[in-house]
Amino acid sequence: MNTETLIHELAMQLQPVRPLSRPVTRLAQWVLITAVFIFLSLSISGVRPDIVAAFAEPGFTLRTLLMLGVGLAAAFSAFSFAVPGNSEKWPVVASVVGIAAFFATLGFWLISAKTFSPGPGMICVRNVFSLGIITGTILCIMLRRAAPIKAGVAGMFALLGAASLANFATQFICQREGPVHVLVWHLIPVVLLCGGGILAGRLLFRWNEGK
Amino acid sequence: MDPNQDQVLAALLANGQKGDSVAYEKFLLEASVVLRRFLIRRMKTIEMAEDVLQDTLLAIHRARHTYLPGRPVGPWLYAICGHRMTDFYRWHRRVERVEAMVMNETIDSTSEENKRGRSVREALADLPEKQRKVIELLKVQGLSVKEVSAHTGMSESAVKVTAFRGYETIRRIFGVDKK
Repeated sequence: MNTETLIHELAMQLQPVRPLSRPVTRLAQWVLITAVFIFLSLSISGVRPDIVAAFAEPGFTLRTLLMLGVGLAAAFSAFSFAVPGNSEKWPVVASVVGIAAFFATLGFWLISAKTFSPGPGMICVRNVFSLGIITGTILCIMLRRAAPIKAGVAGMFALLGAASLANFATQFICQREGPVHVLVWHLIPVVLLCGGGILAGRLLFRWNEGK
Repeated sequence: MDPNQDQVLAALLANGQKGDSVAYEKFLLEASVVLRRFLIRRMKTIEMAEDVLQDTLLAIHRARHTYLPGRPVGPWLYAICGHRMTDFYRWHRRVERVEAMVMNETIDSTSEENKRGRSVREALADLPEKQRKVIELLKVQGLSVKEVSAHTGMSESAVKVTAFRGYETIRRIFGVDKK
């Protein structure tokens, strides 16, 4: 078939389509859905009783805000990656800077730490995984309507966004303090979910293989 | 692509998204001129460039809802085209690797099938009729893809896909995936 015939056939079978909303609008929609799930999660697990005292500590506040920032920037990156030719780099840079800052605060915390035991943390793992997987799946479904060029990267940022917000919510539940606890029970699940995101992206975002 | 041409194409695509098939056909025709020029500069042969161009047009059609009206259309077009070009080269490298294996019988000497003394030609006999016929015409009789297409009545793309599937089966039989 020559190219002109192909073009004519594509034009003949044309159906009107609703253009995708802008990445920021899609991010807002996803954040609203995620907020509902975070609220449900906090309702089920219960907010730690010393939450006001915890926020009085600058380190805790900074780490919590950084997780929130990384989550939003990573999710925005995922939505940007899903639009071909979208070259906005700042959300990716913001995610990387946020992660670096988070690890820096964790490093300072480690230096001054008195205990290096992670303590029990399966509840934290369960929270990060359950919330991360649910909201990450919703994000991936939203991305499937777009056309991610770098499928693995889009998947990784999607799950980084979801897992970071799950981690943000876990900060309101988990009463155990300590850098090793946060590293082992809060951050390793985030890393695992990011790895899963790369695989999920490669499997799910096959928009170019026909519908 | 100059800004004026970008604006014209963007307007045509925005109308295409609303279902205007005349505007859409004009958009695809004009985009194909731009993209053909882009591909010919980057690909080994004109035939390859045309193959990727057609694949790109199909991808553009599937992803037409992802163009955000009001934004420049050039980066969107080139991103899709570059993506299809990368995929095409990846696919080609795989085909060439498998073809080389079939031609040279560079099979895994430790594979179970090889231990049984099975040759590639014997494996060929076990392939589905269509795959076997296409591979024999291409590799035994040495016909070109175009000639096989004329001989079998299949399209050139179908010939390539059928041959590739056959190569993959032979590759699996001889455990070449492990390499």
